[in-house]
Amino acid sequence: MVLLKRVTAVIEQLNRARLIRFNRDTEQVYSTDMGRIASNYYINTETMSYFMDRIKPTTQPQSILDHLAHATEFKQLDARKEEVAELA
Amino acid sequence: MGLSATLPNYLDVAEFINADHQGTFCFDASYRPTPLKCIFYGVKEMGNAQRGNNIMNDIIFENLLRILRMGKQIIIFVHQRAATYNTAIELIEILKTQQGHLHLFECPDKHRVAREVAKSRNDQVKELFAYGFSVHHAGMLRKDRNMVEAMFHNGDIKVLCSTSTLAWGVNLPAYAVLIKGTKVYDSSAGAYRDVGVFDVQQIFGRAGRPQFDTEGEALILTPFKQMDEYVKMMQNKQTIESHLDKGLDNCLNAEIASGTITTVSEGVQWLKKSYFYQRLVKNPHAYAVSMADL
Repeated sequence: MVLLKRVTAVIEQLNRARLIRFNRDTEQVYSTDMGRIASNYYINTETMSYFMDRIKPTTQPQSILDHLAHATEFKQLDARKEEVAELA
Repeated sequence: MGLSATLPNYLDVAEFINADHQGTFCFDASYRPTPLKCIFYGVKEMGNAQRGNNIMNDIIFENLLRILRMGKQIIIFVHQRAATYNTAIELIEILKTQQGHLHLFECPDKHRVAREVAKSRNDQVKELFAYGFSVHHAGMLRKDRNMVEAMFHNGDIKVLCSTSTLAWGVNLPAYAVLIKGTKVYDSSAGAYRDVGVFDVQQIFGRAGRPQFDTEGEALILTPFKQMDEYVKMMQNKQTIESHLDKGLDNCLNAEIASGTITTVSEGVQWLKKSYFYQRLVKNPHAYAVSMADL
């Protein structure tokens, strides 16, 4: 029961993020292109849906870099004092 | 065949990989090639950071003299890059106030090695070398780190102050290792947390070199209140729980992408084969599940 609840909750979440498609009637799940990309390149599902929401064919390179920097994968990466000069 | 670090609930791991009783072996500390002597210091006045630091340095210095008199070396692990140099300097200050110990620290072949050290552009390494100390952390140039590692390996320096990166990155054993304090800044939480059991194990594993020593020494300095916790930790009394639940979305996505899971019930079956399930059944409260829900 607990396992079913956890698995269903995550499947619903992945479905909302459009990383998989979930057919509630047949209980079948399928991967999407974006889901496969996330899996192949070890991209967090959270990051993947963040990108999907914000990066469009018309997005400018500057904004793309900005979105990339917001990935949860980089959350723990702080700029160090000695690196500030290089970044500026 | 499956292999894991020593953990108290290794039977859960055996069950998880379907190994039967006869096929399950536990190699505890008695299998170490060099027995390890663990020394725990509980420091009472850690409330005042400055005072706590001074007390720790005094304890460390006493041990330095003892270990260097045996002709051995020590690595001191601290938890911040800046603390490597600061600790070395503070210990050198104590050394300067006490006459007649410098010969214990000095490099036996200092004139030759000093020429090598002079080529480095790292002022800290240069400054500390005269006292038989050095530093090592991820912020240093690869070149300087290699030099420090080689110097320690050759016995040109006696005391190495390092961040935990050395414990994970390079195979540099020493007769003795020491962990100075157990508070470490966790940038993902934005707060201080205690050094974890795996870091301590990894550091303790550096102590004792089978080809040179008949035993090793591991020292840990903690606040007095936490000493008991660390003693327990090193006796392998801490059960290892699963963290699969925190990354379940990524794991399920990968399994669905690879076609392992095509229906909800296959997902449930998949989860049932996990270590997470082994622990969930035994300790549901750790996973926010009540006994009744199981």
